[in-house]
Amino acid sequence: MKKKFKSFIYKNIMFKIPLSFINLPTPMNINYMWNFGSMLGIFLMIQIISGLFLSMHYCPNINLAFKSISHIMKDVNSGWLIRLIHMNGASFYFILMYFHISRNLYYYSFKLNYVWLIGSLILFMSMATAFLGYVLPWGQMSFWGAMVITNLLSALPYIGKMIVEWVWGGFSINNSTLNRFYSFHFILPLIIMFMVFLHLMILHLSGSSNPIHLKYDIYKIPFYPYFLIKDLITIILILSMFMFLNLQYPYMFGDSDNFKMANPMITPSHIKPEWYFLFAYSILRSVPSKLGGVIMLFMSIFILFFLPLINNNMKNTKFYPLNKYIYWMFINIFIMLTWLGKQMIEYPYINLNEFYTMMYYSYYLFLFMISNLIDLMMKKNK
Amino acid sequence: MAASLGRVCKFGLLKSNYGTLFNQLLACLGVTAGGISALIYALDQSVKASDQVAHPPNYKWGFYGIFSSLDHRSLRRGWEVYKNVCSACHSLDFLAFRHLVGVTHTEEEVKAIAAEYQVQDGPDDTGAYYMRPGKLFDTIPAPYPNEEAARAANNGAYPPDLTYIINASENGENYVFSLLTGYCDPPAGITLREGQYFNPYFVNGALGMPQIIYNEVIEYADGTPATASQVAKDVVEFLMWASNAEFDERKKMTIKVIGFGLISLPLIIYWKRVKWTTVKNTKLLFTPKYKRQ
Amino acid sequence: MISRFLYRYIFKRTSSFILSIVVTSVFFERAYDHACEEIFEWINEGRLWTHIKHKYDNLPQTQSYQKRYIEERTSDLEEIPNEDTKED
Repeated sequence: MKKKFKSFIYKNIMFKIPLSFINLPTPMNINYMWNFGSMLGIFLMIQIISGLFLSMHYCPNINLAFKSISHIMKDVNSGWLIRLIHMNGASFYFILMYFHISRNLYYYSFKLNYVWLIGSLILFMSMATAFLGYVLPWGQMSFWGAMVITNLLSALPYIGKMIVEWVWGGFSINNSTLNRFYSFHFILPLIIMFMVFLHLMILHLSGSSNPIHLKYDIYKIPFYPYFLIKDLITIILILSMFMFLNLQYPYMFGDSDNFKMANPMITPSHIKPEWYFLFAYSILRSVPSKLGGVIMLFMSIFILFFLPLINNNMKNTKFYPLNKYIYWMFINIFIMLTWLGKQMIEYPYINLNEFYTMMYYSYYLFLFMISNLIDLMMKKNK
Repeated sequence: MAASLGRVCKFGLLKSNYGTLFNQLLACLGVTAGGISALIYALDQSVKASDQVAHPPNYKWGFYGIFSSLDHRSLRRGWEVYKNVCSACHSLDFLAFRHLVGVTHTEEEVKAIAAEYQVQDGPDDTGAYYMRPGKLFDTIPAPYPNEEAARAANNGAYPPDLTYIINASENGENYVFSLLTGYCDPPAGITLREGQYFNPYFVNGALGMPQIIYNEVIEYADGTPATASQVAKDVVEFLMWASNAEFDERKKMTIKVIGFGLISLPLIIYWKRVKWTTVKNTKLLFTPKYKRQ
Repeated sequence: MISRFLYRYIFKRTSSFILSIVVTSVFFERAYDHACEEIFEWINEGRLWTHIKHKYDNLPQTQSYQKRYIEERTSDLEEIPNEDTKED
């Protein structure tokens, strides 16, 4: 009986994910950089659960949305906490996501092709979800952010205008726009959750990579207790930081204009998206042509899908000094683009924008070239 | 260059030295992030100098400490200021009378305050709308029925709603305080239209609101001397509460969060080290095949 | 002695261990909340509504904090009329 039960549990694919918290063979030499995945999982669940509770009080209607947020903040029991958690949770989710991706770039984890592709898809969908969610409070910045981003679609030749009106559900951003954004904001995270399951299932087929790309199974240790506890450290740490931010500087990442109710008659002096879109926003602004800008904007994310094409013997950046330099340069470029995204379009910034956009894309080019070069060099030296 | 680098470093390039990997990574990260954030901070500061607006100084507010609550004596005075001074033009749409209970006034006092206002209600049995004294659940009545009426009464300027005014401007509490106390004569070269007043902290300098906060503009019920700065401070603190009704709760919870972190983090780090000792002390030996017999 | 008792009745069986965790967490949480609130009131002495409520409330003071608050203030006040009478 017991044996039957055990074999049922261990062989059933449904239990693969829960069981992987216990007996997943994990490389013993992975460092703290491998902890971001578990933190991301926690934050995705935080977002979904807090969002569910918010949806019980939120009204997706242009006359009521702002008031219902105010109602959540002032009247609902602990509503302010749930709302602040949901608001800043998105920022933390993206911080962790960017760390997760930059770790993967450093250690060349895109060699696990399918895991990488699904992960890139998760990033893309998370960005869409975050954008839709930012519109929901119906503040000034929500409205005008939605205006700017949806207008990007009008750059498409021939069908652009039609598609924009189709997305709006009318001839301007109106109640039906807000309503459908709410619907999509509700359903997308559930799809993301499903994608995360796929991400994990496919990852567990081959197991995690490790910092020096060992391929021997004898160096693997079970997930529990070793990595469960190790993950717990960073989870407690990030949650403490998260709550401290929520309670002390809740509007640090936000824009003060979003405390004014949306008004189509008044354009804010300075429209900018949330900080996690700023790098893409400055790439968009650096291209003079509208269609070109839109293509560059989407390519800045979609270029991640092409990384598995790098097909050489490189194991990770650590062993290749030149790649290390361009890697850290890329991190700097990313931070600078983020900063430039919230500056005005004036003399120094517009030129810096163009420069850093070029640098951003050249990283992916150099990644191919330099790694191949060093690879060849190493073969010759042998 | 790459070739010569390879010749100099030789096999060293392929060495893993795993032990220091995390440290190196952290150091690189630190240097990068530190350098970049210092650069950005410097750039940001230089950007600020070129603006056309006076930047408000940071005052030492009593609620700035990480555990410091709002001063409820000040909130109570701030409500007096709002009611006697600001409410002539500005609404407080997202606040109801009941929000004041247990924050600035007792329930009986708030009931009395609400009853002073006339609120439209209805329709009654005959379908007519009628006026009745305010109750606890009513929102605080606005001075003007709509935006057009407000603009008509104020030379075309619209007095904004004050509920979220502190959050709705950068560095809100300092900005509003400076704005209220910062009126001065316009410098040479700036001409103001009729009904406009010069304020260096406002974006274009020309503000539709006259200076309304002077010394002794009102008389406080608790006997506090009503200097201009005191009045401005009290109303800003009240508006801070209006924007962040959960302010005190947040500060109280900070104590709990910090305590939780301080208790649980060392425990979990200790637990991790205990569990990992066996792994950390494992020695892996590689024996080549020819020596294995 | 205590450790043997603890082991036999709490740690030995998972069920009793978990039950003890649940029970202690209930009490710990209450105690922790109270402690944090005390710290908060101590830091913000005289600034919170509970500290100034008695000035505006005609109801009899029921909260222990208010009693303490008034007693502390009135104990100071008693000395002043005595000094006045001595001077007279």
